[in-house]
Amino acid sequence: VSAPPETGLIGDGLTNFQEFRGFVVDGIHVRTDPETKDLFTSWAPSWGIGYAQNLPLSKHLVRGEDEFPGLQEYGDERVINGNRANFGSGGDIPGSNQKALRVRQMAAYLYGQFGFTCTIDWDATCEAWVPPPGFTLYPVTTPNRVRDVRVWPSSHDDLTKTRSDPNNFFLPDCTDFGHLPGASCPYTAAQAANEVRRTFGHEIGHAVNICHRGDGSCSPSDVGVPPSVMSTFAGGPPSSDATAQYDDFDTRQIRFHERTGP
Amino acid sequence: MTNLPIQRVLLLVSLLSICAVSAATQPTASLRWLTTINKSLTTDTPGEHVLFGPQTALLVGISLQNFEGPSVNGPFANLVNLIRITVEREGRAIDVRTEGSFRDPRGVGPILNARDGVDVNLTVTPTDGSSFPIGVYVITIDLGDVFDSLRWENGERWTGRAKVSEPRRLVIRNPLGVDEQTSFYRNEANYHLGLRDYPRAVAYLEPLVQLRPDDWRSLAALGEAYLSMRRYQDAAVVLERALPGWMRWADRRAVNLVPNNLARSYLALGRDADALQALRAAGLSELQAAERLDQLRGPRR
Repeated sequence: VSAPPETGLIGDGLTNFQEFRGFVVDGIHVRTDPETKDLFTSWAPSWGIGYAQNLPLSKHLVRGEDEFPGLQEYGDERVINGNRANFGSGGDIPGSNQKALRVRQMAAYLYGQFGFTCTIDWDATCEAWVPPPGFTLYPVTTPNRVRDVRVWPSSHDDLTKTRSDPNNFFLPDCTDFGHLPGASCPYTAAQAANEVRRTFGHEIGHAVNICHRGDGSCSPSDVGVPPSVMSTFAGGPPSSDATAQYDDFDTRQIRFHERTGP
Repeated sequence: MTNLPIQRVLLLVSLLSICAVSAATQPTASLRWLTTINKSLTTDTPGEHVLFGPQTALLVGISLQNFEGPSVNGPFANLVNLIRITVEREGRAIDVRTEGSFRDPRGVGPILNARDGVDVNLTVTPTDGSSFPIGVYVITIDLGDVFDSLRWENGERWTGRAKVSEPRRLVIRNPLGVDEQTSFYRNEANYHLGLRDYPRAVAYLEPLVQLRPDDWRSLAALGEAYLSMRRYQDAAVVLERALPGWMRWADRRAVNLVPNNLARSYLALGRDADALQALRAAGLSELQAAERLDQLRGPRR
């Protein structure tokens, strides 16, 4: 990001003028509120953006290249505030490019993989799974660094299946995953669907800089902080459950631009 | 093209691309849908997919959501028969047959409430029983009949905004180079793993791990397939190789998968001490590892 480091740390990377000028969202021109943070994402039918709907942001589900190939509602590289510099007319206009997220519902099954937030740190296809040198395990990031957010709904079907073996080893598959104690196992289809929504919310959370919950990766430490949508598997609670929500610990971390300091 | 007119152009083109079934009564109602092609890679060209090797069938996924507006009634369980698919190769139509299955994991039934969605998986094959050979195809998906069948809850015809049809460009060709060969094996292997067809998955995973011997993800998948085929010794060998990478880089929610499978393999081979050690290597304490082993042994029949 070539922007001044302050841009986006508090706001959403959009100037008041850009918010007044407005954006095209699902074919309709909308103006946005400078008093609220705006997150632009493409849309992943038929799950929408899952529990990312619960992010305390104004969500704008624009048409992306997966839904409307060639007719996406953002510019090159998913810049949502194109023409922001007015080609130099009017002098040095403050602000920087701000990108929308590309949220992808993957058609395939992928073994052991439910979601992934692919950043510019990874290879261009995001398929080689070769982490770059110095890459940290927990890739919290910001929209301008995201190539795409991927969710594999089909992989969640594994949570509903059981494993049996002629040597009398028997274990429902979902116990291989980080579900919470007391969760039903195997999941029902409805519980697995709930996990898909959580995965969308979880990965999009990473894309706006929210860290994992409950595995010690957060700074400051999340030890003792109750579960949220950023936790690992929750066991398929109803959508009103805390694990479908972002709490204060999560929302305090939201950023739209890179960290440049503590 | 400069950035100057792009938003206006996109606005105009996007509006033109929408077939407003009618905007008279429910101007804010909108259905949105997406096409996916299983086993394909998307390219930098929007709407273009690459499939490696001749295809016996095209696996098309349609996801439809009531994006905005009131509930909609419709024969959603019958969507398979209402979606029209045509395939052309170099401008010549190919007669195809479409079969499919309807997925309703969220229990939509005949009513699509606001924000609800349904999925349809379609298998498209040539009617003459042949396959889709190497070539460039255009597949067009048309949901016009779907939208004609929809009703508001008062029984009147659904009116709102929706994309009615869209073409996708399919390039079917042989993989070029190691990276594409890897993608081909990986896509095919995962497709069969998803179906739990382990022997066919192994047929793709074995050459894949030869091509990418350090790919912990493929090693783990091969271990799963071997384990499911009761090839415990083979499973243990590849899972031992997968474990370090898996523990470091895998999806945090699936992190127990490989250590558990490795321990299962050892237990099946009667190597209980190695099973315990594998779980310890995955970061479990002595007590946690012992408890996990008890879990993995499971109830005796």
